Amino acid sequence: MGTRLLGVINLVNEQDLIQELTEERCAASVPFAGKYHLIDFVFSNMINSGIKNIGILVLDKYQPLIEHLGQEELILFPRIEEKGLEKIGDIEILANHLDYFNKSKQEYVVISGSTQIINLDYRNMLEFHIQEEADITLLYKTGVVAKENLPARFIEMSEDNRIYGISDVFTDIQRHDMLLDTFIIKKELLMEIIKIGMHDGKKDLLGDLIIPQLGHYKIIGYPIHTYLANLNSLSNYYRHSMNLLNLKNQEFFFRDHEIYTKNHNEPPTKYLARAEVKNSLLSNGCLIDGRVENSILFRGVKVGRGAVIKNSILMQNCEIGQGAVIENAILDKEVMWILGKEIAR
Amino acid sequence: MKKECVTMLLAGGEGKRLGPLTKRVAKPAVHFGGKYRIIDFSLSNCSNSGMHTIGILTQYQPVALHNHIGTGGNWGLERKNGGLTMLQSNIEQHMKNSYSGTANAIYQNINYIDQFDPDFVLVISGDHVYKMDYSVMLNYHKGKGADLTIGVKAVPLQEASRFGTVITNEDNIVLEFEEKPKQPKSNKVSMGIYIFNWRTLKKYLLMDEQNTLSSHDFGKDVIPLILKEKNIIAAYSFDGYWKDVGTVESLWESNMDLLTDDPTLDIFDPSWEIYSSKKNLPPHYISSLAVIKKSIINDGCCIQGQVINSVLFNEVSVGKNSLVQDSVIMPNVKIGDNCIIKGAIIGNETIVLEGSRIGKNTSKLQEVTVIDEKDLIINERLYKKPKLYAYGNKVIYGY
Repeated sequence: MGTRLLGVINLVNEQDLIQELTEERCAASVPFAGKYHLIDFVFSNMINSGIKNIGILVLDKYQPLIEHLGQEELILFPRIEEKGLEKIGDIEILANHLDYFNKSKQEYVVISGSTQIINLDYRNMLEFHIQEEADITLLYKTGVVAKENLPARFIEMSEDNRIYGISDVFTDIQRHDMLLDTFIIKKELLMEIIKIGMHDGKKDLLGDLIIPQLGHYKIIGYPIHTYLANLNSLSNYYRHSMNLLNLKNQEFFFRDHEIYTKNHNEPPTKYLARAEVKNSLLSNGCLIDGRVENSILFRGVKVGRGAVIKNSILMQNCEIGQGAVIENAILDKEVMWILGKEIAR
Repeated sequence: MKKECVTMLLAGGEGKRLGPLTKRVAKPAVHFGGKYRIIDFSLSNCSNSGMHTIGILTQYQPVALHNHIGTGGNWGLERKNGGLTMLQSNIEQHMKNSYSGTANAIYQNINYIDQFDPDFVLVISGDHVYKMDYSVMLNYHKGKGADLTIGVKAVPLQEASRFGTVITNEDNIVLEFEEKPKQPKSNKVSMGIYIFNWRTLKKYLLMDEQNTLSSHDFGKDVIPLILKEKNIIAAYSFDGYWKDVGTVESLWESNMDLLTDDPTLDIFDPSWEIYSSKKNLPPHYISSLAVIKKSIINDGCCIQGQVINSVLFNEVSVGKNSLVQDSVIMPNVKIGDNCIIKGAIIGNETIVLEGSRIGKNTSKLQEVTVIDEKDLIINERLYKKPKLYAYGNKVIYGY
């Protein structure tokens, strides 16, 4: 089943999603869960679903992505000679690469972003798509608290799984069915829609072409009920990171199946005699001489004697000097924090 | 293509004194330091020293080694010209152990070395834990104009009888060489690191092979022969950390050495990285009930108990209320709740059931407890290899 699917990871609509963390990098390159980049999750879902042909649609700030993946062949680059970045949407970039789709042997395409982290075998979704004879199958998550996930789109479905309404009206604490950024479509139909979109000057595949055409095509919904980490803001990034400090969530995230990533050569983490660590996730290469509580430490983080790290996320190679106190903070990579200073949010 | 120096890495050691730890793997493949296998040190030394043409001679239980090393890419040793080559001993040629001695292993691979037409051959083993720049030793060898240079290290005199001992003049030229002497005359021992002029080595390998009384071993036969024939043998003094982890006690001690605040062997030193095979594993988790002090912990671990002065490899789990102290826990060991483990080495994939006790409180090296891999431990000191019985739809361990 997986070999009938072509995977496209669409990073075009996520450019500045996670605020400060996406200033210098695309969202897919944001480090998460102590070791990974966001792209690793959707990429691993695809590989674990047996998908062998994967293309990545990029727009900007994708240099860290290339370094992380270690290869450029997967990337479908935008051509931005005349227009500015803001004017280019995923439709145009897809149109620039129609030959890639033409040459691909797979019949169906699954398109997904990288910031909505779920565990999904796309083969099940494809089976449902084929069974229901749908034109497009959109993925949605049940039981989502609207207020925590804004901005978001919510769906209304009829009994035969057909989606007849998509709106963004909900902002409350009630639970609704939220539209995700993943969908399956037959390759031929996708290419047809892209050509129409280019002709009509449309920008956004999901927003300008698919959603307004709910009546025109047979569009159905495929539900997912398991954990979703919707990293569509800095505060959601922080919240879902802290949720990882829970064995059950960890099992779900990365103990049950493999998440592929770039592995570095780091020695195992060393705890010195004065180390005090509680409820934390640590990667290799760390040197701990202080206190670490409710935190996530990426690789190579050094915590000096008497330093205190609480409720924080420290990305790779941060060095926290003696006696420093860090609380409720996110430190991007290679931050050095010296003696005596204190930062808190 | 010509290479100045070819390295021959002897990795066939059985490590008999390591007991169950070498039942299924050769000694260089034994786990060390929370993440590595012993051979990683020699391989990384080669890579960091610029010695990129390496033949690895395997014999005893080579599978784990071959899987671990692959084509050498993880140590930067994958190359179109030269690079790393596995030289498994040829079983058809002789009857059982087909490299009959360390020198014979090289003798059988003369063709491999000849293809590079080298000036020098570096012979090392994969049994030792140390960091060394072989290019410095090579320059020393050239400077001395020697036919052979032996790496030597000073050890406590009472330990010298475990090794080949060396007596030199003030110029560091070797006058006498004694293999495992009962009464050692010198405390300088051979580290098993040799740099030969290839011409010299080839000549004496051929000569030694003709001698049917020879055991074809470097220390016992070839080096004494070279010395007897009045060749120049130089001694290269090394004073860094060097450990032959050939016994359970020395393996345990060497692991413990890593846990001090300022260890002599620094695996965190970025200027001399120790490479190993890369695994795709999640970060490790320390729970709110856990206490970790003076320990080393690798990826994928899940710690809910106390870990004191211990080395934990990847994917080890420690249950609630359990204590792991002064121990080395190898990959994928699962330790249940309420266990006490002290002064032990636990082989990989062992399951330690709830409430078990292993080992004793001791600072005496002789009392290190070793648990075989894939064992099952139930209660106090009661452990055997279990049989699996199916009962209905449950699987029970029975005896």
